[in-house]
Amino acid sequence: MRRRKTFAVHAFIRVLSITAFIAVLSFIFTLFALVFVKSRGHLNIHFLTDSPKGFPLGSEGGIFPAIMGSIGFTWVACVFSTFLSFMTAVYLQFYCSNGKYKQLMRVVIGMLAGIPSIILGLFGYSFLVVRLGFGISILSGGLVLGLMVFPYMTIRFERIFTAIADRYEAGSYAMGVNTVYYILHVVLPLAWRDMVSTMSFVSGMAMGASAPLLLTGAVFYAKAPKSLLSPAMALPLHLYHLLSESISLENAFASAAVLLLILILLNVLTWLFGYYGDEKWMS
Amino acid sequence: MDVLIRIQNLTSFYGEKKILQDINLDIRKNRITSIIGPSGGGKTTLLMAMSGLASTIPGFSMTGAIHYDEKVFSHETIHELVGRMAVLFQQPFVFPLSIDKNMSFATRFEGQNKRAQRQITEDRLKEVNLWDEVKDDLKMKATKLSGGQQQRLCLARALTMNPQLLLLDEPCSSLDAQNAAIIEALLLRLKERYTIVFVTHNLAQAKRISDDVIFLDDGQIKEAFRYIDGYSVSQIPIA
Amino acid sequence: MKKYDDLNKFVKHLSRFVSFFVFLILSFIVLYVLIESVPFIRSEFSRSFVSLSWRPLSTPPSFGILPMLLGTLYVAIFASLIAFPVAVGCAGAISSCFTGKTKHMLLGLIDMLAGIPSVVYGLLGFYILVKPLEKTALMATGESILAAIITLALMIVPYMVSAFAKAFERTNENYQMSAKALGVSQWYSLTHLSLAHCKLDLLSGFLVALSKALGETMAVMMVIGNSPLLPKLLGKGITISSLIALEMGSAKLGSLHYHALYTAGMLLLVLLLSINGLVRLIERRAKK
Repeated sequence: MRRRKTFAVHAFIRVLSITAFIAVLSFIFTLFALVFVKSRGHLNIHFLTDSPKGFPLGSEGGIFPAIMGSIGFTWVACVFSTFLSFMTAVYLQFYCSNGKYKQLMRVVIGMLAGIPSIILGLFGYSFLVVRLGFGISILSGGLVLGLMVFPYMTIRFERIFTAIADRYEAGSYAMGVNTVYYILHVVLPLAWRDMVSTMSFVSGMAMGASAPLLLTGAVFYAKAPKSLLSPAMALPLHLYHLLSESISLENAFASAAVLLLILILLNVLTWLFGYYGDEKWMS
Repeated sequence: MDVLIRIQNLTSFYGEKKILQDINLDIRKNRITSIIGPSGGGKTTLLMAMSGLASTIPGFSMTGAIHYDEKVFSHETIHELVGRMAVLFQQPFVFPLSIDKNMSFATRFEGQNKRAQRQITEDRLKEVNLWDEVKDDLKMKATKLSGGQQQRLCLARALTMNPQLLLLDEPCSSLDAQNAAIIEALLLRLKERYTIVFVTHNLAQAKRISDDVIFLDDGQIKEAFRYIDGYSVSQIPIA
Repeated sequence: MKKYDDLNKFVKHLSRFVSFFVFLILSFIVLYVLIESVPFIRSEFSRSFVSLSWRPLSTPPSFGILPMLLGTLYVAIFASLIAFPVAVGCAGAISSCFTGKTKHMLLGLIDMLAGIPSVVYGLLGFYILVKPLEKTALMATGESILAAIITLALMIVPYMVSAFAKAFERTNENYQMSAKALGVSQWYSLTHLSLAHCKLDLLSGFLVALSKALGETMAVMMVIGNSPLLPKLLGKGITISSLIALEMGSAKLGSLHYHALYTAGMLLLVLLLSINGLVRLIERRAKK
């Protein structure tokens, strides 16, 4: 005799799951298809190398200064974040013997990860732009982006260091070497690939972020940045500007396409260096 | 009777849990001492304590003393033992670097120049009978060696420290019988220059090569034997 | 060797010094937002914060944050509620139907979705939702709370899927063999085993996505209409983050408007830190 009741529940879940899965998959496909199809014709070499032109500004011409600006912001963010994350992870993993301090740090880092990016922008404006006088610049915007991504980087670095330690730490110290030697000759050679992959992943995060830059670094029109203290355009914000001011829907899609292509490139780099793979030193 | 390392009233804890209970043990110079016993009896902990590595395990504490190198080490100072003796673990842990980089790991830290490093590498690899097998390709990644070769490499690498004492934690348990036999023959030869302590769960192996056998269970030395003239067995009094 | 001893000391002190900055950074952020909020809180108009009327430039000015707060909560909560079953279903399908390389690839694809910037979601939301909604007779312009909810839901699904899939994986590793040996289908074990076993993970995944949704600025800003009205499904609305993003540029430095915006930021910050604290507590309980 059929037991109808139990049959229903997990059959329902099955239908729901398969539907959801197909929906999500189609969404991914639609997203990419839409962006690349709608930007057809507008996405060409001129788009990448020219400055915005036309009237209103941006309806013609290209997005070169925005690309340069985004690269500038991301580069500052990556350098700042890598330095801070590396030092913090090194201290927590190798030199800190106080368990309470470690725990406290982890809580603080977790809290920093939870701060919305717009609030970081508020802080960046009040502290970096005004108080420290950096002004609206690549430096201010880059530092704020760095603040945004550094918790993720620190957590990832710590995980890498822990995985190495589990396997090699005891034996290395048993051979009489000290901590910095262990870091230089065991940890770094084994970890550098994953670290680079993390850096590229984090750059992807920084490049797509727009809220913090609104207040600290990006302007709607500028030449390609000449120095750390010059203001600059940013790709995601340019996209927003094109759309919200109704300047050009096609160019908006084209900018989105450029942004996605850069991110795909960074994703490939991340994957190549092993972020998504298994830890190589385990074999 | 020459004693290299003396353990006195050693009781150790991980947190609240007592692992070793009032261990008294003399390790004789230039002899092979094996520590046998069931799993969880404290064999590895004893080895970790002797090597000082126990201090790196969170929650470890001990009472009692370890006499070594004309010094006495207790809970506060046990970490100073780290790096003074060779330690081998169950799994060979070669670095995924080239063979010569593995071998020069410790000597480079001491500041030896390149020529000295190369000489030491050759000497130690010869000492473990690995030189002929790898001399043509020292740049090869060490992880490509077989398990038995890797374990010998670990031994050679540890010997570059010029230790007096070799501590081996079940060095053959991940190896097949043939490779295990190679290591056993090696240990018998090395006995002339070094003092060896090794942990094993294989009673037959202990009988084959040891001079002293310590049976550890529940954190206590239950029995201890000494082989005299290679044949007769006498019990060692446990203090 | 002496060289390494000195280097060791140096690295130890340098890293300790730098790591301390992490504390400083958190304190500074909270401090500066707080400092810039104080002038508004102390002013005579601070009462208006709890009103429904946001008129920063009229005389007398009113800084009612309630429409924004409600907008933020409304949009984020509904988006999370919609995204939740979709994410559970998708994660369930991936962990039940696929193995090894395909599963790995699918999860990588989902992770890539998670990496797509919010502006692109905003653009899509605009094109797919706002424009068509305009054409129906239901509303004057397509920008609406509804568009914002759907766009936000689309955006947070990948995060939830990735978290849930990992949780289901862990259950699978432990129990799949035994479940199979009992002769049940993978859907059965998903429904009755994984979902129950992963309850806490599902909750924390939901809360994490909720906190992302609460803090999200761009995607919402592009489709919500940005009118300081109370949230109604087909009407325009505004969130705290969009408010700040839009008005900071034009608020005069040091003006009451400026400080009121910081106060709004403070509110958002407190809200988010509380939710994050809640997630942490749940995770700690999950470990036991």
